[in-house]
Amino acid sequence: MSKLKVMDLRKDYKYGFHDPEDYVYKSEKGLSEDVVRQISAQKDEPDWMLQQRLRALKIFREKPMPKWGNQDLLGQMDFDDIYYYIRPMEKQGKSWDEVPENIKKTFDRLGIPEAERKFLAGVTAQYESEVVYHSMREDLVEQGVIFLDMDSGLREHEEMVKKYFGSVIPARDNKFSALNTAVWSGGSFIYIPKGVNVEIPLQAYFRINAQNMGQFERTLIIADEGSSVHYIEGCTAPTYSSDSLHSAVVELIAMPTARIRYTTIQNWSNNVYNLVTKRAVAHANATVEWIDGNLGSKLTMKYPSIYLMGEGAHGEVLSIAMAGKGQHQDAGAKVIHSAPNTSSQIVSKSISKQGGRGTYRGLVKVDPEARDARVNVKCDALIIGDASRSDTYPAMEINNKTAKVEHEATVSKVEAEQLFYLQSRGLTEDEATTMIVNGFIAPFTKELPMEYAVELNRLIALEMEGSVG
Amino acid sequence: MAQIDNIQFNIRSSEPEWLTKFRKKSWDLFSKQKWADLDLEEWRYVEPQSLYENMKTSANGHLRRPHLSKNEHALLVTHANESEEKATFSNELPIQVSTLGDLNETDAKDVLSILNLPLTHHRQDVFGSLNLACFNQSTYISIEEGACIDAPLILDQIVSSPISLLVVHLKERSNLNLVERWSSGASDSNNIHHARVICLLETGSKLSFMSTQNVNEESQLLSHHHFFLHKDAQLEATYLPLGGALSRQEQLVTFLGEGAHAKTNGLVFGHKKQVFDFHSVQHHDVPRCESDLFFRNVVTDQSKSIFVGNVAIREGASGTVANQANKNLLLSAEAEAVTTPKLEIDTEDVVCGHGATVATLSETEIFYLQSRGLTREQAIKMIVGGFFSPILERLPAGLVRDEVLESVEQRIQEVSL
Repeated sequence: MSKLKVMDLRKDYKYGFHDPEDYVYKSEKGLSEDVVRQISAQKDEPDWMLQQRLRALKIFREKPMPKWGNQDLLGQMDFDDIYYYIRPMEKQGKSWDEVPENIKKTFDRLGIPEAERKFLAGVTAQYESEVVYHSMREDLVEQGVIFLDMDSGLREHEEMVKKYFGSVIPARDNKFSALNTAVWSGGSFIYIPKGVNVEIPLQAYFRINAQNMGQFERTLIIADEGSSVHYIEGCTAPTYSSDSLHSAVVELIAMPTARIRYTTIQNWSNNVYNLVTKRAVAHANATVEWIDGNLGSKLTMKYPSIYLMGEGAHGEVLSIAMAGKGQHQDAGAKVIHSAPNTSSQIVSKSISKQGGRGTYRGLVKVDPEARDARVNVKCDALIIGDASRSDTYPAMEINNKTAKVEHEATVSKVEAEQLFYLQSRGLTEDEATTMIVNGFIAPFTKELPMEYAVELNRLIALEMEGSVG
Repeated sequence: MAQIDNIQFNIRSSEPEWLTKFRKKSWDLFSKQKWADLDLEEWRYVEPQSLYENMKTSANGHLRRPHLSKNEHALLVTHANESEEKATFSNELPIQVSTLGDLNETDAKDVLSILNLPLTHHRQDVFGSLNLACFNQSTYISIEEGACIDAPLILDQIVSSPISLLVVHLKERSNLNLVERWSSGASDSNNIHHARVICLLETGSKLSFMSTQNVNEESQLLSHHHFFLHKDAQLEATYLPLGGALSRQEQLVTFLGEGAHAKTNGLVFGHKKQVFDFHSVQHHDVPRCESDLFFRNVVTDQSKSIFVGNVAIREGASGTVANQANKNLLLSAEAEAVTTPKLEIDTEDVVCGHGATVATLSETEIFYLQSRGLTREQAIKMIVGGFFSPILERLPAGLVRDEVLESVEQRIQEVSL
């Protein structure tokens, strides 16, 4: 395969377009107390939230940058070169007609309204800092399901937000959770009442359009006793030469016997830093599943975690990461067993190609009170090309003798024999490799709704094109 | 005389100039290093500050020099204060054992070049620099080209000498079986020791290295072992720490030539409040080398075992085969096992895998053994013995293996369950 083809690959990133910037409000570049106050004022927030933001800003300034992870890329970040708040339109749309033409065009090109009509129970579309479109099926509204953007959630359900906001991930947790708490805007607020099963997925779509934009959505999902919900998010951004920052905080609370599945397909352009804190609490007999797909971004650092706090709780993290040229996917999972009879499973699949770097970084902790915990961790990595890199950093801290913990990892390249076989059946080397990669990630793909699985396979085929040779 | 934080760095008047220079250089490095520079991940489970405080108070000690002797089974190296006479062992064997200060010019050059080999993948931390500046016991062992020492060479070390440095040089195609045995001295006022070992294995040489310790219950033993392997060299390292309150070992293997092979075995049976903290890095920089780490740890009472292994395969190290396995058995409610088998892989053409498990005893197995007339304790001890056997089977036959078997057996018997 020619070098030229490889170089051109990123042009195929079909979400790399951007629209002219036309905004109702755009904060000045950089972070200051003033900016934080302005964000709060724009949203007309209660005072406690403003105070919380200001406290978090102070924490953000006190905390050092992480001393681990990709120090080169983290060192290049410039917090003063980022717009922390951009408001694209005056009022949120309830139908696509109300959304400004240029934004609507963007989402049309991303296929959002089409998807909504077909198979979604509700949709939120966030453009820069604000949710521009939001809708939910009538029957769910009647059952008491709340699916709002976070700002409306705060306005309409202040008590609940006050109770749970930051209860799973406090501002002090890490530098980026502090940053998010200080300047958060948008994201989803979801409450599923007792016993309600939302059978088809709720979706959020996050889009960064402006250059040097920082997107800090904040999502809080509460599934009350016996309820279930599946939430899907997708992310894209235009390709710019300067960097953008996406730093979300996602908190999930699964009450006894509730079930939450959270699916992410992250396909940010290669100039986005994706530094996200995601954490769930699972109470007795509840189940939380993180399905995490990382295709885009320059540097992703994301370790969805589950605290199993109630007896019989179960957690699963299933993730794939594909690191291409210039990308570092530093992803993983954390599970903390704090109650008896809890179980967890982590499956991680990473593909490094064309000099990309895939990292699995995980933690499994079994506390003394977590009798009879069951843990299973499996990390597989596929390396394509000699300059690519794959790391595995699994930590397991076991403090209970009744725990049963298993960890396994393998790293391999695409087998020459498999390639030869497929080529002998008439496939080109590219097609054969793509097929092997698709097979490698099949355990992930089959957990996605059909439409997403098809799209993912297509994306991978696109990514794999020209990767060989 | 330099002084920092009350540590005295004595320039030893009896030592040759090159050594004084080297100590000064290491001292300068040490005095520039800060606590904050310590790799937090490396020190996640053991608090370094108090170790350092202990270390400071004992950094000075009498200079000690090695003595070589021989019995029917083995060559023995012991250490005595330097004021005593130089060893007079008439040496017809192709082996040299000496303190660094006694070396002739050629050997001194050789030692310096070994000491200056780069610490790949690893920064030298404050303990390491302090060691090179202040060691009071040094041993240089070199084996001549093509020589094969049949009898094991046993180094009997005591923790009461606070800082020790061991440099081993296996010249081309030589062969050595080295056993390092740590114990507590009779009158122990000092309970902390830092041991540094640097081994250079030249082309085609073969080293079987065993490190075992049975120091008293208060002792804290820190060690840093670095092995450099040239083309086709073979290393078989075995770790068997038994005693001490804290046993922290760092092992680094750097491959300098193609086709080298390093196998590391380890076995831990912790009880009471013992902490075993083992860190290893296998650094593959050149093609077609093999590394293999295999650890089995059992902890009971409130003891804790930590295994952190890292296989780093750099660009160009194609054809590498690397394996890593750590299995843990928890016997009591308050025991803790930490296992972190890491991989950092920069190249495509590798075969690499790792596995780790943590579990407790199977009640079915215990029940079965009890039904055959064993007491519960006997049954558990038998299962633990069986758990260790895959490690024991990997050891080369001979004196070392016999000694390990005996120590493990004794350990199993003495631990109360």
